[in-house]
Amino acid sequence: MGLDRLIGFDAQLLFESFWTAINIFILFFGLSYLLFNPVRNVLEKRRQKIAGELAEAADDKKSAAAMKAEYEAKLKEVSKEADGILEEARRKAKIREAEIVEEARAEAARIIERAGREIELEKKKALDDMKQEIISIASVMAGKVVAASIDTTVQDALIDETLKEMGESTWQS
Amino acid sequence: MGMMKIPMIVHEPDFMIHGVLKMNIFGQELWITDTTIGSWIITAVLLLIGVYARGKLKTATASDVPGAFQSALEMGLEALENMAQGILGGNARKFVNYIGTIFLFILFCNLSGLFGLRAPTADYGVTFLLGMFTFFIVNYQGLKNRGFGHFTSLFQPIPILFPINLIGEVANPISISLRLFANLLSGVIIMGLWYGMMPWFAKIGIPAALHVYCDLFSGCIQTYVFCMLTMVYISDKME
Repeated sequence: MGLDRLIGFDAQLLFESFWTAINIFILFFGLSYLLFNPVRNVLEKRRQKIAGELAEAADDKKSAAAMKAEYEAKLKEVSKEADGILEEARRKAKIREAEIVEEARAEAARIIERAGREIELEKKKALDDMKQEIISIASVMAGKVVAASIDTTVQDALIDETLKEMGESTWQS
Repeated sequence: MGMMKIPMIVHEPDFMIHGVLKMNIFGQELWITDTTIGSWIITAVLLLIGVYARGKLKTATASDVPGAFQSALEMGLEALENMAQGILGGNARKFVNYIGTIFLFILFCNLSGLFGLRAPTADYGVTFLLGMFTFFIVNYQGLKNRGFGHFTSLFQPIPILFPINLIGEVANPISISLRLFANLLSGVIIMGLWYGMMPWFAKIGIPAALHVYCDLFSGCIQTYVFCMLTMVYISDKME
């Protein structure tokens, strides 16, 4: 005769409970080892990886911002330096310009002075030449007059004539 | 006039627990029943799933893209942890594995009706043990967290309420185990009656709807209820 029942509060119920307890124990340790803990480990590993990557990204961002600030500061410094150099060059060029102009002016003054002196010398030389000419002409005339033994009136008239011919301006200039 | 034979009945409706193997232990006649065998099968299936899962997860690294199976496991565990965290708060971690174990065991037991087994949870021997486990865990936590206060709390707010408090404590495991058992047994009886008493054409298509209600719907709801109540009872003793 087999067992057929729905419920009964007897040793069979406890026997069933005993097997269930064994099953639950096996399942608790088995599933903890095989299923729950490995899945939790995977999730934990992923959580740590994501957290690590986020922290890394934040660090990278921070260092990038620091680098950017540094480069910007450097760029600003460089442009300031370039401005300084340009300014210095400009100042030096101005000084040089002034020097050149001054030198040119001095040179020009020297040239003009020299030219004036030369003109003066030339003028003096011309006057000397003319005087020499006049003297020689006068000597020639005097010779002529003496030779012709002409009287003084003729002589005077000849000299006046000669002087007129030469013109007052010729020897005065 | 003799009894008229009803031609509609094909065979006797069967929703009983059957003994499979008789044993004699300490002079007691005890049976290995179809409930026992069903729960062994379910344990084996769960362990096989666990072995497969461990094999899959052993090679998984944090940077791997999880497949469908791994995603399902992760989602399941996270849902379970969230549920436990919602009720037990910071203490959830200690109980997640146990709650997960009984959740899977009860769920698979309840759904085993769909695969032709007699649901092991439709045997009071199984649900009684589950209820007793809850009772022991709850009282262990109560003693651990409150010490002697665990007993004096039975006399609060006034000592005269002690009998009611005591009944309230003892009734918890009985109520959750009977609730699970009775819900599953009702499904087993309804299905047994239907398969046993209905003419052949009523067994086509219609039982599917009954299975959806009695096995799937009721099975899932009762699993959830049992685990929730276990956690609620534990959480009561945490304060």
